[in-house]
Amino acid sequence: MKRLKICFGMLVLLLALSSVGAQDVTTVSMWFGESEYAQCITEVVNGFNDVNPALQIEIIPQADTWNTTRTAVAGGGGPDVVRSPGPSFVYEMAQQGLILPLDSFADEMGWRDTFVGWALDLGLVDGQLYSLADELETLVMYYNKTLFEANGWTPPDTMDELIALAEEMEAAGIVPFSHGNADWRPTNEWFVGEFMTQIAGPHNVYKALTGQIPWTDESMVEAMETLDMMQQRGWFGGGLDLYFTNTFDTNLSMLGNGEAAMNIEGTWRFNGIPDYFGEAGGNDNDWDWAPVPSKTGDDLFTIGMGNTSSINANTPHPQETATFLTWFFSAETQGAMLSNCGKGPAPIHLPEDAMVGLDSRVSRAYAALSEASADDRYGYTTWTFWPPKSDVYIYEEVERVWTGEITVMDYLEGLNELFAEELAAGDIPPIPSR
Amino acid sequence: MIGQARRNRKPLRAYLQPALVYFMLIIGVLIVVIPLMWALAASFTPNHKVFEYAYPFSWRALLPVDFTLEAYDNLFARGFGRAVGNTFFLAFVTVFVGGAANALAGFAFGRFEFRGKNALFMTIVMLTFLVPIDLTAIPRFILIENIGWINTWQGLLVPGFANSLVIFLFRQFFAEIPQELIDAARVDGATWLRVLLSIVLPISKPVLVAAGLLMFISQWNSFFWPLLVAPRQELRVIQVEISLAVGQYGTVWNELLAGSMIAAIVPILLVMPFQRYYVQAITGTGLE
Amino acid sequence: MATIPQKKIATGFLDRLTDETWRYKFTRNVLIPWLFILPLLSIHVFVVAIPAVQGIYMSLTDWSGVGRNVEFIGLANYQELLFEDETFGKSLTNNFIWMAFFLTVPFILALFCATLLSQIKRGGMAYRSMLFIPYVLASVVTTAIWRNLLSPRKGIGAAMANLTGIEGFDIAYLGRSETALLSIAFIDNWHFWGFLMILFLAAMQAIPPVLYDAAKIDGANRWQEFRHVTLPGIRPIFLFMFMMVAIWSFLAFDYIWLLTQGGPGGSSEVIATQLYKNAFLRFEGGYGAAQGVVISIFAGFIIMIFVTLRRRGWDI
Repeated sequence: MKRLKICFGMLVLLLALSSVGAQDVTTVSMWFGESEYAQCITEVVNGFNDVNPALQIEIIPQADTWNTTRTAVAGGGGPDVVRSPGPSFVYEMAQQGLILPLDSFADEMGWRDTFVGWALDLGLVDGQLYSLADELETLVMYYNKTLFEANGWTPPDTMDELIALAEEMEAAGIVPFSHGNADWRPTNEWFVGEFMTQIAGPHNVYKALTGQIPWTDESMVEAMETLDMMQQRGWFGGGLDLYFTNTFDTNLSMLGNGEAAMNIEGTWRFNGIPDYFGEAGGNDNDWDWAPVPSKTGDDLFTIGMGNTSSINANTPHPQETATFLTWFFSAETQGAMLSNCGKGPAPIHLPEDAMVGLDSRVSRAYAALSEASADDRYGYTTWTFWPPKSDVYIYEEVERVWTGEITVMDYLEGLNELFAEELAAGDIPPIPSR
Repeated sequence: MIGQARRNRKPLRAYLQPALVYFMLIIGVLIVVIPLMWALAASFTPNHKVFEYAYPFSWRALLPVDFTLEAYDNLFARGFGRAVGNTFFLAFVTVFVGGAANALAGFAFGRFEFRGKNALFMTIVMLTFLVPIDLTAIPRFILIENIGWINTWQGLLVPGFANSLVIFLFRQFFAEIPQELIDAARVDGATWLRVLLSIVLPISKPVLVAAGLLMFISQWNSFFWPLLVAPRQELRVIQVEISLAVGQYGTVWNELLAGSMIAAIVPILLVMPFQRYYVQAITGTGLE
Repeated sequence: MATIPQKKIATGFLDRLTDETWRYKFTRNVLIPWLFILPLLSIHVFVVAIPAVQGIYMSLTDWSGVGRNVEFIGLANYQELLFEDETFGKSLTNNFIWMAFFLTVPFILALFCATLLSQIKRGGMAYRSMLFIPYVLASVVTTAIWRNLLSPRKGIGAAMANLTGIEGFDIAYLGRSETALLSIAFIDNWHFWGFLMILFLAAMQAIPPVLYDAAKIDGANRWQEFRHVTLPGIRPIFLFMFMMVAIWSFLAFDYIWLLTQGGPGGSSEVIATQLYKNAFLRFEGGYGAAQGVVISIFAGFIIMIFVTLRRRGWDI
């Protein structure tokens, strides 16, 4: 074994020497946010660097990643792998010719087999592939399991059950949902998107997104009225003004110490939530999650993307960058990043064993999500599927509904008008047909 | 002397009044200091306990919980020391080179009469107020990219040389210098550069210090431009390094606070001894 | 000037080349000043002027804020901004509220505190340093500290309510439409006023003690001393900072963005936060650029007021 390693080492060295002689080492760069996370990704990527001496990947921690990427890429610079927060950003960059079409790479490198059916469609701009979806995410309902057990509650399946349970909690002096948007104002859109999907149903949302029905449809009104009712009754964080001032830290502490019972949040929170329970959180409680209750009782999951990857049009090494992306999006790499760094996996065919060592609650969530997407029980997150202006409208203006400045109908009419404009202009991210 | 006489006449009031003054100052300082104490204490606390006593707020929030140097260790382990060095270099070069360019121009605007002077001056000052930097950042980035200055010291430095507040101060101050001083030197056959160097600058300590401070601190605190133009680790500056503690899904609070504490020390040490020059520079009262 | 025939200029020019005094004048009034300005001017053109002019041009286009492909659309952005955008008026009002706050509260606080500090003889430097620290803290840190301290659930307000038993301290200051903007202003001011105080104090200490002695001999009381000696003494720096703060009021951005992003329900929206959203979230960079130009026009307007007053003989 040791001998083999030495042989292998020599081989690598030889390869390195010969390639240095023949050509320079190609460096491909990729930017990641905060340092700790970037450090973890670097460690995984070093696995690639070790066996590919001629192609070195540089992971650069870059604060305020998207803003700097956008400016740098628009100015003709930036990293070789361009990451953006979602399809609408890809759309703008593709329109400006800042990123390369990837169709030929997809054929050549087998990406069409790597990714699940609808996933590559998300990267289409005018019929051409421009980005690869990454960091699959959905919203689930976290709950304080210990608190639920102590009160004999079970996670509700339907919206009606949820409302009945929330009333019970309210009577017991427990805040039903530990929600708040002080750290991230677009938190609002999680709930708008989720209530539309769970109450109006994913098929109606799809029709509205494709312009077949207006956003003022009765089902949408019902969804928004229910959401507004919950806000008005103070179920989100203990009161509307508290909702506006609760930070994520407050939200999770409340959930952890049992001041609140439930929290509708993204699967990205799997990373942080354990810190607020048990010994780490200074309490004896445990957590679990359940699907967000729907009107019909079906387990529906909204699908979202945390990130996309594209190839910078300015890169001198498109081919090498694509080679790296092939490795980056392989099941092995994605599995390693999921279990080591908690990175949400890309929407690829991820074999069961790629998730070994993961908390069973986490692997259960990704399994449920892929089942739902195969089973027509998936919905849409606003930040991935709505066009940019409508998206900003969704999370900004809904606050005016909650503060009583405008009615639900005013809100939906405004959305409808803006959405119609963007639909007519063709600024809609690709919606995989169902 | 007069105060002495009064104190003898009204002893009670003389003692009460300073007491009241100190009392009010202490209240004022408390409002400022409590949050700072918390921040300082939190920088010596393990990250997951940072909010333990701030939530609900109690006096224990003002002392570190489970004292640890973890945050400082982590910060320096990932290259904070280099960032401090880089920022010092950046700030010093800006003060000297940028300061020289601004002083020369300020002298011209303050001492010469030439056609279009006021229009040019107003344009320079006004254009800098054409914020926000984020919008002009893209065209500026394109320029810097085109001449290949990305990830270089030049790219970091040169945009910081243009500072409209500094040129404003220089013009103001130089305009106040008595004409006789300059005329005397000119009669002796000194060139204009010589006049600036050996007559004007020696009596311009306030404006030099003030302009230096302004440029130093603005580079010390610069964030967005360095972030944009020099993503390389070797060129990273303090504010960029600190902000890496702020993540999409969570913030390493103790590192953020520790970094900010260190970053705050230098400007305070610089401003405290030199503050009066700033005022003299603006008011032109510091002419020696 | 315009009526002078071309020919005459040409001959005049030749004559002048040989004229000693003209050469002197040329050197003195053209060559030397431009040589002095040249280094700064070239930097300025490069890093400020060209980008700024491009920014102005972008405000006349449908630029998305991402790429370089743009179409010229004339004044359409301005037309929409000034006549169709309902939120613009509200944002502008908030900017004026912001300005009113910052032209009063920090100035009064700073004057008051500087007056107190100028009287004490011991520990002045310590007080001064402490009051100045918030000014050099990064906005991310200041806002994080105060967001927690102002938390209605567990912040200082809640502690006060517990301690005194009086309800009403534990308000969600940042979460109510009526109080959000002023709470942000309070926090920004917590960070800012120390700077102002330091400047006023330095100016006060530069006032010759003789003036105070003279006032005392004239029998002036504390207030009269302040009114007739201190205030005139700090007037230049006071007015200069007054102008700067007025300009900065139109640029207010980071504290608002970090604390509420303009919420709740748009109650703390200002022009700069709107601009940011338009340019970087809604892909309307051209429209955002137009808002940027409007901000600079306001800044320019304030400078013009001061310049005009100065020309009229005000000692500013």
